[in-house]
Amino acid sequence: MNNSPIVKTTAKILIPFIIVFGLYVIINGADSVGGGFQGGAVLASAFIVRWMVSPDEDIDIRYMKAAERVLLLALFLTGMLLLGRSMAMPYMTGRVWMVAVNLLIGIKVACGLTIIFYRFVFFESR
Amino acid sequence: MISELEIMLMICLIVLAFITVQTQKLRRSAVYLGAFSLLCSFAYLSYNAPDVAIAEAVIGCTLSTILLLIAMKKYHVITIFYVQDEAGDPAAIKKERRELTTSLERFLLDRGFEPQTISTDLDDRELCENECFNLLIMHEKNDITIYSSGIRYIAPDVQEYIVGHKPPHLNVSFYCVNERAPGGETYDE
Repeated sequence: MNNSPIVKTTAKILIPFIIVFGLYVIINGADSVGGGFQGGAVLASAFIVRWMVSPDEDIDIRYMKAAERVLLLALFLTGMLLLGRSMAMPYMTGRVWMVAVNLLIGIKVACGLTIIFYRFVFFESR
Repeated sequence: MISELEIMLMICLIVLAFITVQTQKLRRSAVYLGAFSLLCSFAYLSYNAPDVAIAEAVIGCTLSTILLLIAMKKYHVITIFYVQDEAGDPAAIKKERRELTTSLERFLLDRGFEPQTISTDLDDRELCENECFNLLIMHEKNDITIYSSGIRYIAPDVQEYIVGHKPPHLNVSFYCVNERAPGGETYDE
């Protein structure tokens, strides 16, 4: 698997498509199949493919950990934003709010799964 | 009402689950588990649960398969390179070689290791430079040369086993190359 030009070329072509598909699943999750969790898992698989191409330790997990915490806080705050309102909010507000929450969940899940993966690959040894 | 597609899916799922449990090699078992997950996600799809199907396909098929394979690599997969030039050899010798490889694999499996045999006709010097083998078996006419690398804890047993089980007319020479194991770098936080 190391330094195989076939794997490298295929992955380079594949990674943008995976990311676009993940974002599509996240953003379109409000009214079709998918949602934050599924899209986030798809985004995390892009990182796994990236690891297959270049298995170097050049991703700083600490930033990802920090980003995950901040995103969790943002998720709570976004949830509380519309707390006092009645359910009869304007259409656009609801849409924007839903997409925003889905995006936050998606990026948070992608960060979390990537952290799990990279930690397992690089730090856990026999 | 149950359609024929569902019946086929269910039968395939049961067969795959059975194969997954019954396979001898862990590595193949992990791959079968991935196929099982993929069929499982089709089954979810046929029950009108596409959300669950996507999650199952991504997590069961990609994430967990790769994690299992990496875990096996970190545990003890033993990579055996078998260097030979098959051209022009009589069938009896080929059969002998195959038997030797198979019995060596069975020996390692009994010890709880995970053998992975690769037949190659690459130059042995190139392989030595890449350091990607645990056992390198070179077979020329009546001579077997074996290099072992990074498996010092089992190399004497392997040598003993091969000397004990080889066909009598073969000469075996065994060398230990003390280099680091493939993929065996350990990181500590």
